[in-house]
Order: sequence, then C-alpha cells, then structure tokens
Amino acid sequence: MDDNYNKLGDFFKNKMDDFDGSEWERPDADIRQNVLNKITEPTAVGMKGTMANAKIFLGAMAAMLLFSFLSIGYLFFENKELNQKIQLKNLQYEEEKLKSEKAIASLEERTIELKKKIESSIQERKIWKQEQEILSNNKNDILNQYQNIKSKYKKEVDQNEQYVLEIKKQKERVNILTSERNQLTQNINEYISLLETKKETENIDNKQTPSIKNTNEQYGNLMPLGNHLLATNSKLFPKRPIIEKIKKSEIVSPHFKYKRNKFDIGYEYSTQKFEWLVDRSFEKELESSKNISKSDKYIHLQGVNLGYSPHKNWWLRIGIKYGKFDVEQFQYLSWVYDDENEEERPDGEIYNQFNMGIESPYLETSRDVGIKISDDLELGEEDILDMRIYEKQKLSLLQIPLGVEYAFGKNKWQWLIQGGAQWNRLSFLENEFDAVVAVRGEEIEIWEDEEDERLDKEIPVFNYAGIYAGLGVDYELFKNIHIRGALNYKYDFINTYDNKFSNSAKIGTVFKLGLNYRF
Amino acid sequence: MNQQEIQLIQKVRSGNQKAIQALYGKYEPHWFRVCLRYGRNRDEAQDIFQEGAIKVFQALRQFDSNRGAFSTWSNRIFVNIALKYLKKYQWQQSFEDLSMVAGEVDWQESIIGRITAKELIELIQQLPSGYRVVFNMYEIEGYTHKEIAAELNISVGTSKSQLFKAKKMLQQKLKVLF
Repeated sequence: MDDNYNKLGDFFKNKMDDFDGSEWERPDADIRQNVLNKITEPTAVGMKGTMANAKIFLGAMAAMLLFSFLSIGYLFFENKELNQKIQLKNLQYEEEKLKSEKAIASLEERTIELKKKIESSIQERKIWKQEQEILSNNKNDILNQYQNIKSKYKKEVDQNEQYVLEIKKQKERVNILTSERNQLTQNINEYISLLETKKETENIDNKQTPSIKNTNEQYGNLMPLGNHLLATNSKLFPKRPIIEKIKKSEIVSPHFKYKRNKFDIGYEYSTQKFEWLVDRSFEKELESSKNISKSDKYIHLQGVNLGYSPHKNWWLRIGIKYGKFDVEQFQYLSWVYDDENEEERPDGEIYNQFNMGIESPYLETSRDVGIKISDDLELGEEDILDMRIYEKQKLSLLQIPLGVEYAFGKNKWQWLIQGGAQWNRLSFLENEFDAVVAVRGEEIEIWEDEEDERLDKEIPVFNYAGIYAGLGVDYELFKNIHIRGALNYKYDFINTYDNKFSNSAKIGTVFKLGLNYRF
Repeated sequence: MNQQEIQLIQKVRSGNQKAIQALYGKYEPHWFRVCLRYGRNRDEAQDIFQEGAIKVFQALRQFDSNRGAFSTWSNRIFVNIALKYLKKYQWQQSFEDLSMVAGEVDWQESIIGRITAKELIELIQQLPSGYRVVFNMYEIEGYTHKEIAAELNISVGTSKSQLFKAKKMLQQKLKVLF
C-alpha cells in the first residue's frame, strides 16, 4: 500500500515537468499584461526602495518650500505687529534697565556706607582692644604692686607677731623677776625694820650705839641691787620698732614709691641778658656824633647739676655751666681833616695817623689808625671824614651755682622756690676790629696797628660772685625723669674796669630749663 | 545558475525593461504551474500568480545568487503567497478528515503514459486544501514534514496523515478516471 503511495508521489513529481507549452499552462493574456505592467513600472522591480526614497525626498522638499513660503508670508504680514511688539519690549527693557541701574547705584551707595561703617567699627574695635590691653597692663601693674605691698605688709606683720611673742616671753620673765624683786624688797624692808628695831633697842639699852652707821652702810650696800633690777627692767622692754605707715593712696597709685629719691643728676640750660656798653674816645670827633653805644646780647650757658635731698621737700643743688658768646657793635663818627699828623712811611707813602680809644665795662683798648693820602686825593681842612667802625668781642662765661631749693606739691607737678649763690668767671678770648673811612663819598685806604693795646690787664679775666633767687616748676615726665623750668633774679658782685657801667651788668633775669634723673 | 542569468538579474535590478520582460518570460510557465497546483482552479491560480510575480520582482534585491538558484528562491515566494492565499480563503476546512474508499492503482506504463500533466493538476486541484498543500509541499517541492508542520502551524503527525490521505484520494481518483 505504502509502496503504491510512494509511487504516486514520484509519478506526480515526474509528470509535473511534462508540459507541452499550451495556453493552459500560462496565465491569461490580461493577467500576464497586468503583471507585466506592474513589474515594469519604475517603482516596481527592485527600484521600489530608491524611487520611494526619491518621492519622499521630493515631497519633503515641496513641503519645506511650502512651509518657507507660508513662513515668509506670515512674517511679512506679521512684521509690523512684530516691530511694534519689539519696540514695546525695547521700551520695557529700557525702563527695566533704568530701574535696575538705579537699584544697583542705590545698592552700591549702600555698600559704600556699610563698608565705611564696617571700617569704622573695625577701627573702634582696634582702639577698644588697645585700650583693653592698656587697662589690662595697668591692672597687672597695680596687682603686682599690690602683691608686693601685701607681701611686705605681711612680712612686717609676721615680724610684729614674733615681736609680740617675744614681748610675752619677756613679760613672763619680768613677772618672775618682779616677784623675785618684790620678795627681795620685802626681805630688805624686813631686814631694815629689824635693824631699826634693833637700833632702837640698842638706843634704849645702850643710849649710844655706833651701829646705826653700820646699818646705813649696809642699806647703802643694797642700793646697787635695786638699780640693777631697774636696769634689768628697762632691758626687758626695748623700744618697739616703728612700722612704716603705708598710705591707702600709695597702695592704689601706680606711681607709689617705696623709698623717697634723695639724689638727682641732670642737664641744665640757662639764658640771660648780657649788656655791653662802649664809650669811645676820639680826639678829633665832632661834638655832634655819639660816643657811647649800648649792645644787648642774650647769652646761653649749658651744663650739669647735682641735687641732694637731706630732708623731705628740701634739696641742695650744685652745678657747673659754661658758654661762649660774641658781642659786637657798630659805630659811626666823623671829624674835620687835620693835616698836622701827616707823615711819610718808609715805603714813601703818606699817611695821616690818629689814635682811637674804646672803653667797655671790662676793658679799655687803644689803637692807631691811619688813612693813606694819595696824590690825587687833595684833602684840606674843609673836608669832613666819615668813619664806620665794627668791633666784635668773643667772650666765655663759666658759672658754678650752689643753692637750696624747696619743692612742694604731691602730684607730678611740684612748685619750686630757689635761692643761692654762684661763682662766675668771664674771659675775653678774641677781639676783631674793622674800620672804613670815606671822604666826599669815596672810600680811603686805611692802615692800622696789627696789635691792639689793652690798657687794663695783660689777661682780661674777671672772677666775680653773685646771688640768685626765683621760682620754678618740676614735672615728672616719666618714672624718675623730671623736667624743670625756673625764672631767677640775679645780682652779681662784679668789679669792672672802673665800675662806670656796673649797674647795667650786675642785675638781670635768668631763665633755666633742665632735665633730671632722680634716684 | 549560469552567468547569463546572474547578469540578467542584475539588469533587472537596475530597472532595464527588456531584462524584466526577459526574466518574466523565462519563468512565467514555471511559476504558473506552481500556482495551478496550489489553487483550486485556474482563477485562484491566476490570483496567486499575479501577487507572487509582483512580489518576486519587488523582492529581487534580496536575492543572493550564492545561496541558491533563482528558480528555487522564486518558487518558495510563490508557495508562500499561495499558502497565504489559502489561509485567507480556504483554511477552515483544510485539515478535516474525509471518508475515502481505499483502492489500488495499476501503475503500468500503458496507463501512466496516457495521463497528461493537465489532468494530474486538475486531480490535485480537486483535493481538499489541506491535502493539496501538504501533498504539493512534500511530494513536489520537497519539504520535510517538520518544515511543513512549522510552515502551516500544524503537528508533524497531521502533516503525515494529510499527505497519506491526499495520496489515497488521488489514487482513488485515478482509479475512477482510468
């Protein structure tokens, strides 16, 4: 059966290839044409994908073109409205921008103010911190001082307590000794009474007894014993040492000093007026010209001074000061020419010589001055000569003051009352002289002595004493550093050349300024 | 597959009208015979043919000459179109069992020589759709039962029984006919 079926399959399979090419084996003509039409279309065979893509592409291009046209049209018609909107937006933007700028400016101002405030606060805080530090330091200083004072006080209290204990012990001993003395005194009294009783008995019995003398002698022998006891008593009670009192103000004051400073040393500057009076003598001078001139000069001295305070508020002071100074003066004089003194010098030149004297309170000088008479200078008695004189005197003054001073005042400021004496040494160091002579407005060449002649002494030095008194003030600038100032009135016992101008040189005021270190 | 046919297919792919007509003309009878075997009649075969032929040319770019002959590839497209067609119009009664009278056929040469291909196709067309399809696929196209089962979404047993019954029916028809 199966075999038949297999044969059937093979039969059919073989017969299927056995066609004769008749119309039956082919589709109808219209079907065939229809199929051919479809498969020969450009979009049909194998080209379907490519052509479809091309169609899609063309469609997309057309759609884009259409969209572009529509967009351009829309933009064209909407352009005006859009411009108006843009302008409106721009206006709104400008308004917003202005508002923002104003707000920013306000914020910036506010920021600057805040910055200033912050800086001010920082500065105040710095100052506050510095003040706090200063206060803290002061507090520490005060605490340290307080601790020192406290420890010192405690030490002294301890010493006192020990002393009290010692006194108690001594008292006990004194009590014992006192009781012994009392007992001894009682015994002595009993003994004396016995002796007196015995004396009376002997007087009664023997009317005369020489033993009283003996009794007195015996009594007298007991006196040293009593004195000894009294001396013992005084030894047992020595004077209690005085504890230095500490004032409350001194405890709290940062300037409290445990010990009064007794010495100081310092620099002192002083200035005083120095008057220089000159009297010139010139034999030919016209009466109308002045012959006495006055020159004022403030001189400056510097030096050191030492102070010692032997007692509270009282100071003794000694010092030494020195200074150099110049006094200078100009003089003008005129005289009528006199040809009597014309003489010829060895070199053939003709000079008219005259003598000139200058007198000051301390010395007198004399010098010869000559004018050269040249050939073209025809001088006669009708001519008046004018002369200008310049003279400078270099001096030095050494001063050694010794004085006493009283200071009062409890604060940093103290007022001073001063007084004392001083020794002065005035020395003349150098003399400069210059003269110009003119006639009819023209200068004449002069000749003068190279050395001037001092008429009073070979070495012009004056030593003289003086006294002074005045008021001053002292200020404690720093710890132990004092600045001082004083105004003194002085009187010098000076012997001048002939005391002709003594009043003007002797009396004057002196201003002093000093800086001292006290220890 | 010869070189000329490969070049022809390439021309068809490039859109050459003459090549299209040439390729169509060459394979048209072959493709239509397949359609005749799967359709119940000539009209159905022509419907399957139209659809199949257009499909072959549309899918021509997918053809790879290294993987097989063009005729085999195009045959399978027609079979698939036919199956799709049958599923759409005739599938409900495809695999129903029919009562058939068993009989034997005399396979002598004298009898076989008198039967034409047209007559055989008409016999096949008279088979129920299920029988016809399985018979065609197994006996003519050379599918295995496993492939047929997978293709038609039926079991292998069903494919075998359908084939057996198809042959049995054909044998009866042949017996009646001759």
